[in-house]
Amino acid sequence: MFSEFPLSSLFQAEKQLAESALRCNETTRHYGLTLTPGQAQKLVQARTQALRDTNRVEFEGTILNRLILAFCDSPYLSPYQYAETLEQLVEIFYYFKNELPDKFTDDELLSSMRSSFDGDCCGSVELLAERDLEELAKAIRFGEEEPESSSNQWRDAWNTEAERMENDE
Amino acid sequence: MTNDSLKPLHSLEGMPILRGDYLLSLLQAAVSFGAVSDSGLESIQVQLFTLLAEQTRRYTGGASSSVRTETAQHLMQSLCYTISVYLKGLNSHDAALQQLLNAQLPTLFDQGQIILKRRVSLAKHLLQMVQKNRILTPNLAYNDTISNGLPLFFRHYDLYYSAHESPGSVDYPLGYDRMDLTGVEAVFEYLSALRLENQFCQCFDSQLIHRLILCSNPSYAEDLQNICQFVLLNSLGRILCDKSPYSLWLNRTDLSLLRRLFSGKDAAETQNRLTAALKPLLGELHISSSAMEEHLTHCIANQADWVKYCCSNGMLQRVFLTNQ
Repeated sequence: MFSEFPLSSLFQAEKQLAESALRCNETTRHYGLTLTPGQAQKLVQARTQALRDTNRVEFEGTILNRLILAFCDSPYLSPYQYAETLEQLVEIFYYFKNELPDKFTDDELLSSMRSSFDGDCCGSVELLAERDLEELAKAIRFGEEEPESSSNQWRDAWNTEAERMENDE
Repeated sequence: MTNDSLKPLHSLEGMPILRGDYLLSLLQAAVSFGAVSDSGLESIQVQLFTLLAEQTRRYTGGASSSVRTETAQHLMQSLCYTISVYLKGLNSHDAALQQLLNAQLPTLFDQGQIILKRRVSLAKHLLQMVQKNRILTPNLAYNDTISNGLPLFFRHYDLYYSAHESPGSVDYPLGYDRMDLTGVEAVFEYLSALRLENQFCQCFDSQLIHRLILCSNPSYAEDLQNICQFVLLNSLGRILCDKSPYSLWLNRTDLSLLRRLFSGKDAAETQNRLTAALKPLLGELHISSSAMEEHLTHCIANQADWVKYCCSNGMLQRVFLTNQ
């Protein structure tokens, strides 16, 4: 009974998402990048498909706009591949939301994607997905990245003790 | 939503609506009897999904716009469980359906959370009572459940996002357990029953109980065995032999009498005979609690087939234990 969201509401949601993505043109046109209504619709469909493929659910369709605005000033986005690149980035985003721990926030993933896309990947979505983000996911899964706070805590405790010993002398 | 969504001719009272999945079961019954319209049902679905969206946002702290489907399903189960707890408290399927159709679901959810918090608090109090009136026994499952398994539930129970789950480890089997509930409802009901069983067994000497069960099962300390059932059956046996229940043991003469009493009886008659002895037993033990009588009646019903089987196969001594 509750396995399917009422389809009429779903259709309405997709229409609203496409309109919302189009409103991002107001910002992205400054970088020479715009989406047509058809491209926006395709982008939303790619998002829906990516959610299905990765077995994820999104109740507030905000990631599309955030992704568009996060990448719009990338030097590696051209008007000719803009829509297609966005579709690929959306797929990559949801794929890696599953690969990374739940506590890895949307902002952190978007930031990592943008940083690698503009950096080592030089605008290649293939390298972004198959190399940089895979390495990030592996590193986090195998605990190579420790939160900075824990090493600081022990360092601070050590320094405090060393200081105390110095003062005692 | 309006009252138009409920067609008043169809009462759901007396319908077999599941305790364990009350909200879904109630709606399914309402739909099959035409007690709710399609638009009423869709309205409930939309409200539920809106509530789920809000709950998911809280769960992720707003840091993730999407979650895994399993996570969303888990949160939905918790929501439905919480709303079900509130609806069951109305003690009327029709009233529950009216609430569902006319009230806002977030309100029902909030009310459900209040009830859950109260239930957790009461269950903690019950655990303290159970720990105070526990039986002295070497049975590992009994001791581990009371000392570790049940306290673990309270340390890990998450009534906000996993209200339907039952963390911890409750291995000790009761004399009667419907096992159709989850979450704090299940633990509350388990503790209520365990407290009654402890209270019953406390009427007898603990060493006597230990020797009684050892006679039937020398390795009962390591087994998943209910202690109360041995005490109940032997004490009923003594009542049926017109003896005081306290010393628990039966002898060969008693066994012959009981054999004649139960011979040729079917399971229902066997159950009736045993149940008829319950009131006198509780009278002898000075127990007047109707909850105790109800629970032990269910325990007897659970054992009736086994008693009948043993009697039919010449093994009644496996039910009514003798010290000879």
